[in-house]
Amino acid sequence: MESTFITALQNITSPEVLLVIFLAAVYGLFVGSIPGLTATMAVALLIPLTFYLDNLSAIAAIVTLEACSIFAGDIPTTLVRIPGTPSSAAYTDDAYSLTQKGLHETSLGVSLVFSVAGGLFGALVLILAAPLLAKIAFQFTTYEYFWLYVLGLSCAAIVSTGSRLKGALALMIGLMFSTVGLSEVHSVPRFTFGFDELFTGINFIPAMIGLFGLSEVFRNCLTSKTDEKVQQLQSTLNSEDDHAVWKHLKPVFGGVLPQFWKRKFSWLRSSCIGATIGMIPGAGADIAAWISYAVSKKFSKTPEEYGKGSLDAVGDATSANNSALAGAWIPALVLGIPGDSVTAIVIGVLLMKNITPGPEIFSNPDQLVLVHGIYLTFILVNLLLIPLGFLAIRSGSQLVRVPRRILMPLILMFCVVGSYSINGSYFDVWVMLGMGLIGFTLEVFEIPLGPVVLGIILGGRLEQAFVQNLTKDDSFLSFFNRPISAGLGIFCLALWLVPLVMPFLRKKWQIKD
Amino acid sequence: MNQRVFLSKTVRLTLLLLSMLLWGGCSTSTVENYPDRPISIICPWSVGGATDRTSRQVAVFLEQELGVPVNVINATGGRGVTGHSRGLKARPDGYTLAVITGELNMLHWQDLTSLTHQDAIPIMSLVDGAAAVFVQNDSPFQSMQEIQKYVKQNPGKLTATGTASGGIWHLALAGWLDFSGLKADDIKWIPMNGAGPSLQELASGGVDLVCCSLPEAKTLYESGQVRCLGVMAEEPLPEFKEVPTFISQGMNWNISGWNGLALPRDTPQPIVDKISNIMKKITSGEVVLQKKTFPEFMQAAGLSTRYRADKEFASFLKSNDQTLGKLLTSDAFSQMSSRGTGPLVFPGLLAIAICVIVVCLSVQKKVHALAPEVSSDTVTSQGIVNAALVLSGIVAYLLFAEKVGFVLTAGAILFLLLWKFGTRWWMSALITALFIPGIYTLFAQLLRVPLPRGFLGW
Repeated sequence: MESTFITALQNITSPEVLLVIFLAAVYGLFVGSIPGLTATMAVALLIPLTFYLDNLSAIAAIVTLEACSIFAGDIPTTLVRIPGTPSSAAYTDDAYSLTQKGLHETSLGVSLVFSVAGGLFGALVLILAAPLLAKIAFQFTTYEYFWLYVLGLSCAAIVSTGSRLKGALALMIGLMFSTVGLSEVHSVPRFTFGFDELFTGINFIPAMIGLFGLSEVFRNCLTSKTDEKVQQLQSTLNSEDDHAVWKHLKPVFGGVLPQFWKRKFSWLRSSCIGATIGMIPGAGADIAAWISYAVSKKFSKTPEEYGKGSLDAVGDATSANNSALAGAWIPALVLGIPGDSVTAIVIGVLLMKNITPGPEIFSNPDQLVLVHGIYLTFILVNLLLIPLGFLAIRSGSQLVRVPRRILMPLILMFCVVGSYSINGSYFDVWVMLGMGLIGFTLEVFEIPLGPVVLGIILGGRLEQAFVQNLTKDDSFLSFFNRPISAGLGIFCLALWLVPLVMPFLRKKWQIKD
Repeated sequence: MNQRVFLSKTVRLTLLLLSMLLWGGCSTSTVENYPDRPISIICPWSVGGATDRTSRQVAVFLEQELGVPVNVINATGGRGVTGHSRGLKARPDGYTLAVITGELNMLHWQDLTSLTHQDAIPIMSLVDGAAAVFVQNDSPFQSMQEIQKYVKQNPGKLTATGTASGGIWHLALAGWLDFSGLKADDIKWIPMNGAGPSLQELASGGVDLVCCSLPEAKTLYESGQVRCLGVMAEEPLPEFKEVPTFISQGMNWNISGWNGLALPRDTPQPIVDKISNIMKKITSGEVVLQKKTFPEFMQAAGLSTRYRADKEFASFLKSNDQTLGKLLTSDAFSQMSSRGTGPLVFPGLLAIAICVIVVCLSVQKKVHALAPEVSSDTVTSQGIVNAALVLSGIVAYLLFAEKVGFVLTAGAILFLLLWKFGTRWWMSALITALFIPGIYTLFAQLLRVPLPRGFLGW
């Protein structure tokens, strides 16, 4: 055990591997910060290269790429309100509100440090408990999935700013969009109106770019904000006598460490949520971010700030989505079941390299070295992310200084190119355009956009689980017939019913008193 | 003075652009110098699956042989309709190759598309994975005969999965039931998207059987989490010799899922020949990449292959189409698909929920909250013009990008928007000249994400 660990350490600190990790980190930050390019896509683009790399370098490159691009997704989210990856959608409004207050560097600093901390926690869980926890994946059948999706969606609706009913309405609109296209379970096209392109349904990435990014462009245009510069709140933290280096570090990290110390328990809670949800195949960083956001709001002393620029929210959600990454590797390595789309590719790469993921890779000494290498990469990458992420934040922040009349057309171009490039389809650009108009309209009515996005992402899976359950057994009671599904189900129902019933109960108690 | 220097610079820039235009115009691609720009392979299934892995492997080898970048695009969804349509309906210029799978011979029988195998010029069949039946490790069943007997006595008791309803593995199992003289819905089929989630469901105890190919279940099978009761192939698979065939259990039933490379109909013959010859070289193991040949790579990935070239592939497509068509149009199968929770149940529930919410909002006397709030940043007339410009910019891109190409279309739109938003014209031109080629290099060259190509190729 110890000897393999030392071998792994030696392998990973070899110059070649370090170089690969460094390059992959830069590439990951780059890809993640461009809206429309996802972590999955970045990893898929890397596959041909992995043939030329040795096993450890290949896997290390994928780990690095994944961790860096998920963090980098926060950069466009914060600066221009286009979520770089779906995992950032939960806290888009918070992060962007902070930018409008001139606090974008603090917000990104919190994102960075909490991402790193969440990532490290996830890595620890992976290292210490992988074989033990892998069995969680085998507890989930379609019944449990159904309730898990309901839970994720409920969280999105409940935590959204403003009225809970409007959150629910937004959610239903999102779910409705997800029913467009060929229904996977029925093999029947729905709401396609004769368009072949609509068979695929509405892709959530152009939808996300349109809902958040394009609608923001429209709003800026309509209110003639294109004429103004963003107000530059010169950070009050900066004082004259600061050391030269600290001057650069302070806007990003200045407020972070006290924030982190203040939120250490909530960080732990969010990371646990992230790692647990990441472990369940088919649920990923996006659901983890939403649930952790909801829990964070529930326990917060200042829930009214959530959605309007809360650093707590950004920190908690971002540590959850990063710790979910490592969680997804647990079922992939131990059982050969991919936890998310990236680990699905990883399994393919491993098979190509003559390694079959499964319990035996923990007993075969050669392969155990590789597994330890993966552990070490997770730790190394998260540490490397601090300086590299800092540089990315500093260079990205220059964007905010660009006058809006120049920035808006450039953002528009990125919206168009980003939505086109996912599938190379013009139809996705139409979707982006349509969603931009819808997003703009919804915001006028103060209906939150986050739940719409999550509805589109999870709608298909929710319906699938629903239909699967009803195919197995016609009665709704069967939804509660397994211990975990019963627990999750009752929790979900309580989440919705308690706030409805509470006012009546309270009145009764008051009368009694 | 400065202005003048700048002007002369822009004139020179314009000249340069113009000459590039002309030069670009001369070098329109012809059949002789094929290929002179990147090629795309359209894969109808998602990243990580067997078909995706095959496509990427082919891409790497083709890239080495053709000397131009070969990119894989996963056009997923719609049970393969999307990907097959995009691959086979692409411009037949040899720059789009299509990966076709068994679904091509199924979707048209189910009235989901008008595409058939006749829309494809078959080049080479690659993977050929026979269907196999899996049970959980502690399942009481030891052989297919036991299952057959159990189903005969308890029709409708067992549940199985592996793919969507009407997918290839569903067909394999239903066909076997039909062959055994049972009804196709004597084993309940739970629709799932893909073998991975199905196997997880099996291991979690959610279903009794899974039908999919052996390589797809390799990891769980080898770690002993699931057992394989039989494979629907003529002979035991070389990699899984211990798995008995259906034939050896007294049931003469074979079916397999396959994939292969094809070109859109009407592709010029010289291009077809070129790709076909290269694919023959690749699949025969003549081409070596990283000290490994293509067949060796495929074997390492655990994919069982069957290489059939041109004519042989074409005749296989034809016979496969008939076999699957017979199954899909049989009474047993058509009765079954009309059962269960209908496709409009879920959207119907959602519609009801939306109505309830809207009613609640009005009952709560929050109707005013639904009305647009007139905020302090009032809409100006200039603003409406600007928003209309943005809108028409996107529409113009959609209309012209495919014909004119990304660089010119996007450049024109960006320049106009910047200029109309109040940036001085030379500044707008400068930003456009820096930004658009920058994006092009970034996406098309570095990240290899395709951007629209016009008549100039960029």
